[in-house]
Amino acid sequence: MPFGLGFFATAGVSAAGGSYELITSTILTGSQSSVTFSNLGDYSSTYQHLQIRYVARTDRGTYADDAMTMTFNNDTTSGNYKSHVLSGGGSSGFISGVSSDDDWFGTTAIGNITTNVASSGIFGSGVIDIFDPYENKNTTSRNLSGFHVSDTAIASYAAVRIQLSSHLWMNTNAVSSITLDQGGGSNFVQYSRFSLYGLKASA
Amino acid sequence: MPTPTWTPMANITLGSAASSVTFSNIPNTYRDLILIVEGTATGNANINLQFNGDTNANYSWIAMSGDGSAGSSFGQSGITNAPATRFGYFVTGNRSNSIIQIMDYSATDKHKVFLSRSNNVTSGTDAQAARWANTAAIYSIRLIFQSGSLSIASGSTFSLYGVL
Repeated sequence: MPFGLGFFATAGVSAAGGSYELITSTILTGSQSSVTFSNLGDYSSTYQHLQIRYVARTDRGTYADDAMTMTFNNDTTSGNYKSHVLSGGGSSGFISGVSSDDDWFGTTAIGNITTNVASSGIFGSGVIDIFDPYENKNTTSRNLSGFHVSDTAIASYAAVRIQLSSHLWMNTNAVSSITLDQGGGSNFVQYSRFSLYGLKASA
Repeated sequence: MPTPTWTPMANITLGSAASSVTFSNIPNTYRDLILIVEGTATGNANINLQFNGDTNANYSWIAMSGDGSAGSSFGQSGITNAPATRFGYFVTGNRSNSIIQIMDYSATDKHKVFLSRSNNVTSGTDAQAARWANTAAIYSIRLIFQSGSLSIASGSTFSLYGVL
């Protein structure tokens, strides 16, 4: 049963009230070590929650995957972040739930993406929800992320990954910046894309 | 200047059972697509996706699932379509839902990836990632139910959104 998209698809009609908005997108034209969304305090009276959508890859060698990390307000104090992750490794049957805090050198690991070990064009992706970043409480977030690299001889568990993770930044300050970085490589590579969205409390 | 997005592109309620549903002529206006499916089926039916009419072995996927008693993970590569459900498949009687995020669908510099979350109260819940090994922008999406051998039931809904 086919359905050709008609009027709404081309007219650009937005969701009622514009309650979900694109704030900014960064698409890398070359390698870049990290991506920072800054001056987020400008939106404290506009949005209740934030969302980051990304499709990314790093220049890490040897391994098909690399960890993505997230830091708030340039806070790299060790012990200020906690996280849990459910991680599936596909046919290898690997699945784990990290049950203790996972503060990675003063940041939080939020999900894995692909590297230059994979063939050209293979990227990992994720959707990060950041809840109540402007309220007087610790900031919580979650990420659904995954990738599939099927053409590498690297150990199978690192070539495929689906992850659900939750994170906590133990600081009640309003979020003013968010920095995304990678754990193993030096840079995110060309064509990696990071988009920030705001969700209003009401229309 | 922030831009309102999450734009409704199509909203379909089936008037009769269908073994597949295809969205065609998708414009390259947006960055991501979000497809929300809700309904029942005529049997235990997984939803499988194909893009741009590609029926070749260009799809790979990985899932992490819970069936109420255990968690598991499974994946495949080099197959002719990509499942968006595994244990959260569509069934008769109880309703299922699936949210499928198709990332960078209009980009021409990377393979296409989708992330999905699927749920059914009787069978289980899934998180999945899949890849279509093609850098072309997506202009059509075909949802096939249990490889076409089963149908999704009348009253089931399909909502497609574009995100800038």
